[in-house]
Amino acid sequence: MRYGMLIDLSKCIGCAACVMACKVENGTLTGVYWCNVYTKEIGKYPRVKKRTMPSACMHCTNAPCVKACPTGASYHTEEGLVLVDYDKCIGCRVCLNACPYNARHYNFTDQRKNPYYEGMEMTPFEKVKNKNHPIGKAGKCILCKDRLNDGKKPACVQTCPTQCRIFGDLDEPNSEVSIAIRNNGAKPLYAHLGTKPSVYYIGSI
Amino acid sequence: MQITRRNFLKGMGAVSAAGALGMALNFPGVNTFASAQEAGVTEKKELKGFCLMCKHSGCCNIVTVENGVVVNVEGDPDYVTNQGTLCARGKSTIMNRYNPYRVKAPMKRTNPEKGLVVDPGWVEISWDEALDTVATKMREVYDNDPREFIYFPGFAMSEFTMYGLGRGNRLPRIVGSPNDSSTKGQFCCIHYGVNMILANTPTATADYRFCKYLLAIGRGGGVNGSYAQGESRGLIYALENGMRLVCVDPHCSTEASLGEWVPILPGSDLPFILALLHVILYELDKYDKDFVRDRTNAPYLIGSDGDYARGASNKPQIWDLAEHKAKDFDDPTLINPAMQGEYQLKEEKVKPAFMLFKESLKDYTPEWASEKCTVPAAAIRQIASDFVASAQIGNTIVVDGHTFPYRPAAAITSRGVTNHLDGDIADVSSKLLNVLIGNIYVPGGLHGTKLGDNLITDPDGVVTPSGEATPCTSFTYPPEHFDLLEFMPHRHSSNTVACQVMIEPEKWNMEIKPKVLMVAGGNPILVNGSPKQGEKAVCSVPFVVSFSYHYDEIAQLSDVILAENCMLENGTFMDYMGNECSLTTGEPGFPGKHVARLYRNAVPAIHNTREANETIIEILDRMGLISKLNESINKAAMCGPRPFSSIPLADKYKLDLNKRYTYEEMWDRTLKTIYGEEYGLDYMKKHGHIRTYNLSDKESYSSYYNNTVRHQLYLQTQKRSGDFLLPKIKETGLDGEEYFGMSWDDLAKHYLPVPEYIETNLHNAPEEYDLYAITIRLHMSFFRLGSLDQNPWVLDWNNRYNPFYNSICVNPIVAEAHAFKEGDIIVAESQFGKTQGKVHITETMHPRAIAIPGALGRYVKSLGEKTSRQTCFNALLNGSLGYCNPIHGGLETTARVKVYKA
Repeated sequence: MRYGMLIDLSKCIGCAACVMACKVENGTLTGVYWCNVYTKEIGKYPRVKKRTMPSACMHCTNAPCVKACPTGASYHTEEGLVLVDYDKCIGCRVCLNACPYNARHYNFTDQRKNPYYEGMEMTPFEKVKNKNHPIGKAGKCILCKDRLNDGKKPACVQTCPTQCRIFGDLDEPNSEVSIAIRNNGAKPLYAHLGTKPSVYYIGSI
Repeated sequence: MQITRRNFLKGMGAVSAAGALGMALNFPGVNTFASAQEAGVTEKKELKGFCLMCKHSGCCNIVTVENGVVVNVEGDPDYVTNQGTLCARGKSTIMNRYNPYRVKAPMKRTNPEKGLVVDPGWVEISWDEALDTVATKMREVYDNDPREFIYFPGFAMSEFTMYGLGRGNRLPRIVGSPNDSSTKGQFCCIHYGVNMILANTPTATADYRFCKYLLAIGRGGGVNGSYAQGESRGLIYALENGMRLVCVDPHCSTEASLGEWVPILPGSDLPFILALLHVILYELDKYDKDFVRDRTNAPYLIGSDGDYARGASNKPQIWDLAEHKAKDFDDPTLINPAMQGEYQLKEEKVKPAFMLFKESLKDYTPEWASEKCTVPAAAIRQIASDFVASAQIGNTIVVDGHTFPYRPAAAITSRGVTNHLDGDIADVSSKLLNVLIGNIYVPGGLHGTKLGDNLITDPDGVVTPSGEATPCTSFTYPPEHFDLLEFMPHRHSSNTVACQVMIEPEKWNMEIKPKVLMVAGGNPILVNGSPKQGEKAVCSVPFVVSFSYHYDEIAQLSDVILAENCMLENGTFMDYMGNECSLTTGEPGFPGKHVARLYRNAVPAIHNTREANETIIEILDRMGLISKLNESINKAAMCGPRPFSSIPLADKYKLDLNKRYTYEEMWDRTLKTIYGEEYGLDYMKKHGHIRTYNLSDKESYSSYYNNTVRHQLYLQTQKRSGDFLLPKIKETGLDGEEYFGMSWDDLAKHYLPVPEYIETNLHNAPEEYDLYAITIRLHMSFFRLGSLDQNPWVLDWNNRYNPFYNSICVNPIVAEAHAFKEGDIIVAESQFGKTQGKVHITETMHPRAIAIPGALGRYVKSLGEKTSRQTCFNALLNGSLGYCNPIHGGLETTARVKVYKA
């Protein structure tokens, strides 16, 4: 089994619901976005377009971050997820440089000193979720592994108003995601790097 | 006066110590949150509810509460609209519960001096004191002259002002005041045209399941708002299904990027639309001639007075070319109605309405329009040609075994078109574009939001206009409405006018003065074309009470604040009337089953706040008016079998006039009356929603029920309204320019039966204001709802990753002319105000326009420093008469500006 995702960029409207869903689910630190949406303009007036692209950890099979990690803190699960073992992470940040997708984040600041509401104390929500983000460790998208254990889809997939993400088992050729990847000729980002991501895209950026 | 005292919700008497913290300094201090134990929850719980982080409110959610802390909100997969999805706003609502700028307990001001920068000297008070104070003041007005009670509701309170206790503004009605004025409506006067031509409300949109060509003029089709309840999904479906999307807009939005962008100068939609009509009639001569002949009033003969020429039967006449004589419009022997020519009827010469309609458009060539709207003449011709060609005139389609005309093209408009001084004419004209291709209420075409059987045939055989387009038949002078309803009988909202008149009611010879103002879910200062005017108006009222979630501008100017729950803490109901952007999503059966009554299971409140409906009931009880309330509910319950309807409570559920009921009990009895004994409150608590009705796909189309009524191509009801009103207004002797911001002759141009171009103040600004400023919608910032401008997630992400957020957007041509570099702080200054912000240089803007995106900017610092410094579009506008549309009251929401470095 290898969990993976297909993102149809022709359906992405750049609303960042996935960004907020990730924030809610994971309670990441202020300014940290495991899931993000980037926008750009192409063309010149009046032949111009806005383009958007959601991006997060690609959960690469051949993950540069896992290879670069000096302590073995970064590892693959049996389902293909790339995770970080905080007990082993020494905060060297080599993985941040190794990742070509800019998907890794470093927990610099104690949330108590930089809470969501500037100048206030942490909200009860932060207090509950903050324990998942120890200072001095590298963090990243965990593909909502707890939700997967509960039989749910990752929060970003679940919430998308245009349902532009399909999630499933890439090793199962008849899964919805595998079929959609095949039928649409979907490609991963920077395929030429040989990282073998588990996230595929349809459409141009 | 008798005030009823009760030990109301004893448990709520424990006042939060955090309530007033820091507010004496007019700035919130470090917040202390109530602990989970205090909130009385010690376990993990999932609560079904619905979202109201935008005005549409059609998404159901599930909230996870763990030891009193809300740890998750996500879409309810059991509801057909959002199918488990939620937008960014709906997700971010968790932070609203923990917003430190909330009002955490009832408050009263101790400083009698009022102003946006004056410290109110807030003191926390008990609910008893707050409610007694409000009830006493309101009872004084009730006993003296109830018209002096003014009620300002807004979108944030639509749960109760529009759909619940206050349906039809029940509260002011019970008190006996005609003076309710929605603070949000003046930015969104989108109803008049659809009320008139389609007899529907609140708006009209395309049938995305079948539409193949969508001309979106000044409006989004669902994606720009990133609505999760099927509207974004519907537009994406349509595009995948081969629909061409043409967006006519000064800004290349997300939607325009998905389709084709046609840049247009702001506020020039009217000439563009008139030119489309001209091309169709004079150059292409291609439109649905059968529909125009048989399903519109176009063949009706018009006399010299501009009204229908009537026969002995008093019915409108049609000239039958077969027998060379006039016949009743519904004469079964009528064979060949004349559409052109001039005929003699009794002593007068008459013409078919179609002739007058067509003649009115003669001069509006694409070249003429292009000079005004900047869209090239060739592009106008191409759009008109594509629009008509895509309509497949003559084609039919079978839906559920029923054969309909198939017209897979539609032109849709919204506030980008309507909210101009000529917006009424432009919007109605856009509807006539649709009438010409015969796409009204048929698959692929234009529809009203309200599905099903809507069309009522009037005695003239024409659709009876609904709501705001109902012809005027009464006039009172001196006026008793502060919003000058007497002068604007079709107004949706003229709240800024109300503010102007409240300051000096004697100028309009009003015999009443405002005594008590209640504001609920609105903000007459911020959501106002002239914030200073709003401030002055509110300060002119001796007693002001607001339902407030946070310390915003209206809270700042209030005498008493009734502390309000956040959305998740509000256990309440919603009558969801249906999607406004995409009635169909491509999913079979969607339209007929997505409309529902919704219920929210409340998360226990963490502060000493309350649900507003219950608070209003409590105030009415203390005023001694509970029997009037109950009587009102008995006659017209919370809702009826269809959206926007109401029915009397069934006898066995009628309220005892002398007994106090809760808001939930009133809804319980309403739902049982409509759906039966088992569908009351308990059902709603468990399931979260109940479908309003189940319509099959064919039943969703109004033409399934009525395919004989004629729609207006000749705007006879509008003319009729003006014929009644205008002489009455002139009889007052008031000077139009001085009292209404325009001459009475100019006002008359808005009551013509045919479209006509008018030159407005917008285009007559002094030359130095060389640019046109607009606001544009951002996914996480619009409607001024949901406190999104304080939400730390929304602020942080947008400030980091969304270059349009909190900015002034200009085309590179503008940037070069002023030597602006990306990120420079610049000023946008209109004739009426200015704002400043960081410049964002983008090819997505029309080179003669600038945009200030989102609903941002504040006039108080009590919502945080960052929030108060945001760029504020509304500061550029003028809310006075003369800058409000004289028909629907909508503000001119484009401003002429100049820009320069700060």
